Amino acid sequence: MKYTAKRLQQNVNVTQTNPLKELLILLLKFTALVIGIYLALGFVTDIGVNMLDSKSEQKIMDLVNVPSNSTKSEVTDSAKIQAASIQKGKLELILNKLNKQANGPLNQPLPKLKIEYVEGDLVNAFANPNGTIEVHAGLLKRLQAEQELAFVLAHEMGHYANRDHLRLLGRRGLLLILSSTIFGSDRSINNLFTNGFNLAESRYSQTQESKADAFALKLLAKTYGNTDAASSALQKILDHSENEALNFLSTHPHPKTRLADLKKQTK
Amino acid sequence: MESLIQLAILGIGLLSIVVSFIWGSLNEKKHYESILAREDQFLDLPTLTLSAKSIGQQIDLNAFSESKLVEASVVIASDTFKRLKADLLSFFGGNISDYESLIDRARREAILRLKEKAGNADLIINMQLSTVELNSGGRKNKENKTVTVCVLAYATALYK
Repeated sequence: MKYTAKRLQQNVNVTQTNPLKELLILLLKFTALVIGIYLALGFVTDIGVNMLDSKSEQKIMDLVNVPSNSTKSEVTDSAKIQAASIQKGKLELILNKLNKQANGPLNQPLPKLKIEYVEGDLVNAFANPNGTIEVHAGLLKRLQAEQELAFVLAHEMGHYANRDHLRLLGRRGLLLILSSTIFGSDRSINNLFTNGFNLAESRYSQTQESKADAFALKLLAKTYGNTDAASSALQKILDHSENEALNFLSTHPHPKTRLADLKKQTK
Repeated sequence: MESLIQLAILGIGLLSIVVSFIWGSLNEKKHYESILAREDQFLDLPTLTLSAKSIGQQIDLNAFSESKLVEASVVIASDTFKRLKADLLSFFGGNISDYESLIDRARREAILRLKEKAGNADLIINMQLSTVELNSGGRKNKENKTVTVCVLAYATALYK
């Protein structure tokens, strides 16, 4: 047997690839998978929310204590506290009035709702998943008439009537589960991920908003006999939305689109 | 402030992957260059996996005056970039080309070390390779999981 020295011509043991390109494709695949799972499970959650009875709904809302979007400012001035409690009382009166109509003539029983008055110049209101309607002081400065405030509250009540708050909660829960599956028990990355997405998810969709507006119109008509306050409230927010109400826009569609929507619905 | 720290942690994580990729691929390139040069150097030393019994039918073993057991081993660590890719691939399946090159380097390096250890041998027979897993206990703590490849090569060196 003769031995001939031969140099290795090509390496069959190593697959020739571009490692960076490969990683990019893998990451894209993975992201697509996660988004796919999120959308699919979100769809299932939406169906589940519709099937839930009101008792279980109340139980879920009692369980969660979701912190509000804005950090509460510490108010130490006693005069300010008094003013805040007056404003809160005013809103609670309107809420009770609307609630009676919703439970009675409109036959749309709602879960237990609370008012949370938040200091600051923000012109906004938000329906939190735990049943607190967050109303910012800036909004009360712009809207003083009872019926205009009633429209804002009725709109938020519309979100509860359509169970949008449970959908939001479901999606937040899904995110938490997904992120802890991907990133493991590492809390810092988990927090970053969920905080980032919560910010993006802290708004209701365009359809949810117009449904809530439709509910608000019905409730206003039942309570006050007319719906004029709806467009005047939106007009007032619109007048200030050029520069100040960026925060309002981050959680609601532009008042202009909502106004056009309202006109269609009242016709 | 808290989110700033979280961002910093994430940034350091990403940076370590980038650094690991650059460092790792430079290392690999250098290693392959060294392997190719040394393989050329040992091209004339026949190294066979055949046993003495089967080789005895072909050549006269009495021509050799001395035989010696030689063994060599090599341990190569993977890097964070390779590990990240392997983790992703372990979900989808497929060739982990990054680990293939790791194993390839380890095997060729082990054979080269064996030849270097054999000195001025005229023939190496009965060569065998085996791979050893060094850190089977690392699975529990995923963050500290490292992948290292250990290859052993052993053979009989024959001298005239």
